Amino acid sequence: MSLSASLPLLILLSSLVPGLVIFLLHEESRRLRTVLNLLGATVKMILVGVMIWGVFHEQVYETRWTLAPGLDLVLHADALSVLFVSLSTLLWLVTTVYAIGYLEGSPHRSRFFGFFSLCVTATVGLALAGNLFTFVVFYEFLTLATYPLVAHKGTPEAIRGARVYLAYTLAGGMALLIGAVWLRTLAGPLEFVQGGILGGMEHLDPWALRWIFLLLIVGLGVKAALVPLHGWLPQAMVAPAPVSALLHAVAVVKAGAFGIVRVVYDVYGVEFAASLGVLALLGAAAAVTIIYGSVKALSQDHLKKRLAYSTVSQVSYIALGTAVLGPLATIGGMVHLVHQGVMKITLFFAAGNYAEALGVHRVSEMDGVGRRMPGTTLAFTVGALGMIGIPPVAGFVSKWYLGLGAVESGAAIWVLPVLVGSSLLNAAYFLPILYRAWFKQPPAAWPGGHEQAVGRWEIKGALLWPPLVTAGLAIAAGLFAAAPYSPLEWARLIAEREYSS
Amino acid sequence: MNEIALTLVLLSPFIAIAVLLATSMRWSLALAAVPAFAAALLTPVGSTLELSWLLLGVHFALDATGQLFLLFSSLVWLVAGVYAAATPPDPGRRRGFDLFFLLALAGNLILVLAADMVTFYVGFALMGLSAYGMVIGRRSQRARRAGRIYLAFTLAGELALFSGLLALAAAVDSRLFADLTGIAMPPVAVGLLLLGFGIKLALPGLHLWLVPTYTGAPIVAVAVLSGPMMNAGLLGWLRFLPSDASGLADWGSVLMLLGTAGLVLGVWLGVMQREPRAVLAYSSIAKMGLISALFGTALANPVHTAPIIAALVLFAMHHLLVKSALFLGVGEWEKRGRVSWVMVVLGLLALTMIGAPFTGGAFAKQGLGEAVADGLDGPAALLTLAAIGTALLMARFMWLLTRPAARPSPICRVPVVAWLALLPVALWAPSMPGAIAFDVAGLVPLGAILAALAVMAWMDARWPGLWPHGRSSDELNAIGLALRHAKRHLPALEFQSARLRVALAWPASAPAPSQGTLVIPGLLWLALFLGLLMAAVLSH
Repeated sequence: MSLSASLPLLILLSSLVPGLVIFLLHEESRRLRTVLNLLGATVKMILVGVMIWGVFHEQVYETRWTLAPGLDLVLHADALSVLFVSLSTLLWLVTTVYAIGYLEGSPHRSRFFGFFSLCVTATVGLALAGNLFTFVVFYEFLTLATYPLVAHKGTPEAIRGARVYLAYTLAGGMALLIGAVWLRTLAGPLEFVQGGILGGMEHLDPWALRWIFLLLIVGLGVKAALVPLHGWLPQAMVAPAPVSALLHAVAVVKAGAFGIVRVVYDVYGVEFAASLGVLALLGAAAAVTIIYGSVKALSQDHLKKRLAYSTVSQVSYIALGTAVLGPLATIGGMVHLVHQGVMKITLFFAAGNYAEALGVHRVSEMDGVGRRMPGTTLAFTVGALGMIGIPPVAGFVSKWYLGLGAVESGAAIWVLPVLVGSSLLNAAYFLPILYRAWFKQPPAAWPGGHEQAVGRWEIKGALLWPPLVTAGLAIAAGLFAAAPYSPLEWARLIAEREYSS
Repeated sequence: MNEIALTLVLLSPFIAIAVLLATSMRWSLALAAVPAFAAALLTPVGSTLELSWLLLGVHFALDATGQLFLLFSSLVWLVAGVYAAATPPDPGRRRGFDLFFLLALAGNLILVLAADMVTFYVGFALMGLSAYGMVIGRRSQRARRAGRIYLAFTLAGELALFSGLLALAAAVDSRLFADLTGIAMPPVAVGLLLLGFGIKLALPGLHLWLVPTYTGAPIVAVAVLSGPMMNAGLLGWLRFLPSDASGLADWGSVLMLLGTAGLVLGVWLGVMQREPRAVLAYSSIAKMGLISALFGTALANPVHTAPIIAALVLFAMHHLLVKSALFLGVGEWEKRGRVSWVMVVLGLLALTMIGAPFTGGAFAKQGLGEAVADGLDGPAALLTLAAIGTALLMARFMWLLTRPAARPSPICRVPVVAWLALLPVALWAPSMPGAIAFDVAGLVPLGAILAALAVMAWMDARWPGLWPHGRSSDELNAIGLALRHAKRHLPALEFQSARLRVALAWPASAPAPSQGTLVIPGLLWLALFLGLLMAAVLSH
């Protein structure tokens, strides 16, 4: 097999193999497990680096197995998949480091890291999927690989959260499957092609296509937490912090959003979808979700729940950017795929640190945490400001392009009040946290009672560095947005290729 | 070479932050603005700096207007920096203030040198939001309330600006200010920009944040807020609404009306205040009202634009310097009480404020008068009105200073030196030779001030309870009280007013959730959208 045919497969294997091996490891073989984890993540990084370079220079990477005539399992690299693959690879590495530190000494670590690797494998497979069939396969795989992670703690609450998660996502998966099969019978093999494939098929019944679109979006919308399909997400926050971080930033929620992007751009084609009128529907759903999520976040005292509703709101920026016709909005949506991931993972890392070091789970307990944990709180601050959209953090760049796209399209000018309202609401639920953390006096004793022994840093390095690194990335992605190979430039490349065809 | 100079100007606040964090040397506060001041004097106009990889592509340039803003702003920042550095810190608290001071400075320098919209916005946002950390200074209940209100209005301003920027950028397909000349401005963009900067310039209706902030924040913060930061709003208008663009004339008329209203409101409410700071705050509202009205005149009368704007910038620079110096002086007065030399210096500053003969104020005012002289009766009358109004306000201000200050506190000598060093510049800026040229018209306000003083002395003696001592009220406070009153009669209001009341009323009875304050900008936004909608309907 040549490199161009095997590279997508190798990328998949670089997390699949360590994951499977880790299942077999003894619980106590901590060092070997860590080496395997980090080795897998590093190898994947290198391979993805090669792929980025190649896709930029218009190389073709494709692995294809024919399962039955007309039913191919395809892994294919284009600019969009590379965007998602590099995000998940990078954040996987960081989260692995964090998880190793976070779970130190807790039971069932082999099980955890095994499923953790499978989860990333599913995400990467989904990113590299070259047709709708492959996408659906990995989408279901992801559901199953994530369930044990949500339930990991084994408490009744965790089991319940995981059940809700499973009920929602399996139902969503069903809708997606039905939609995909229906479309398959109408239109033949559904390869992802830049510019879409359905636009060229004039014999198809537009109403059938509209219904199929609805089914697909409902299926994907469950994972992307579009209102009213979002119910599982706030419940899933019972998962351990690294899982929440990955869930909200890369794996599940992002998979849904990524799927929406794929269906709109590479199956229907954005212009064809607009002519069907289904984009308006998607846009309305996204706008409602954005505002609803923010409003709900306002009243949450539990920090992780507030962050969860914030995710509900922020991920829909991606769907919103997809729903507005025009390259600028496309850039805004695509780049937010990366930006939201980097910022939200920072926030969840920080939330995990507060819980771990101080036993602080609620916003009302966060008075003065900035004094006690300045590094973590600095990272949290960067993430929060980015979510509001304050320059130079990455969120500003997303908001700028989304807004510009909305104004330029003319018809979608209503997006602007949504963005402004969302920013105000984001400020309303994040700034009070920052005020508490930095400006209020810390309490005499933290809720956790037993403070973790402080070494050189506020918390052990494996937990401190990941949020600092991702916060740095969030700033870098905004500050150097115009530099080559930045997420923004990459999103531009995607938009160029989507609209040129 | 010039690129290096501009880089140094922009980097110096960040270097100062690093120094501060590493060594706790608070003198970095004062030194951070030195490169900017030097560059304003030495770097030639026309220098540019382009960083295409930064943010969305960043462009800096030093033009003649920018040079003036840079010069005067950095001077005030420098003095304020000395003042802050020499003031003994509150135990355990000071570093936060220092960091926000430097961040706000960085934002101010970025926006003054910015040559494209996004860079300007970034600087403006950085400056405005960082100032929050300065406003809440000592964390007193009053300061925290001021901070909440300030932050809510600032955020609303940022978002209006952001939306206006998008509308403008989409219309011209460029982010450079240079590409804005001669274009047809989209009305929505103009409305949003006027609103966004109008909050910073405290146009009537958008000014509600100003008085609580100026009376509640530490004096150093007020000095930079009332000077450089407020004038950044004017620079915003100058940059984003170039006089030769079309579609601005109607907006100019709106601005004339609004500005005049601000002038009247500022004088009217200002003379009724009980605290020197509050009088100065309303005086700022009045002055900015005048400046806005004249800027509106310039937009509405394209023939007169260039001379008016040239004179207006000088006038604004003079005000920037004098107002900052006045506030620093009020700080001394608050610490020392009625020391005679403090009163003399403040008196001199008040004189230049009202444009008495032989001061820079007279020169700046004369310049404005000449610019509007031919054929514009309205603005000329406005200038007279402003002169008399300012005289009244300064009379009230000086009158209040004769009362004992509220809280004597430790005295430090270094800041006084910096303040006194600022005095001659403030007295004679923008032009000393111009100031020396005698102008009889300058005697009119002087007469007015004396008359007003006499009337006030008489009224105070006649009705001793008329102007009670103590803290000033402000309009938000009044709104809160009115709501409390209304609630008693209209139970249905209770649901909404609970939040508003907590946000607005002072002293707040309970610790307030800060999101409550966002109701105000929310309402502003609603009003704005309705207004724009109406404008759109009417224009079709």
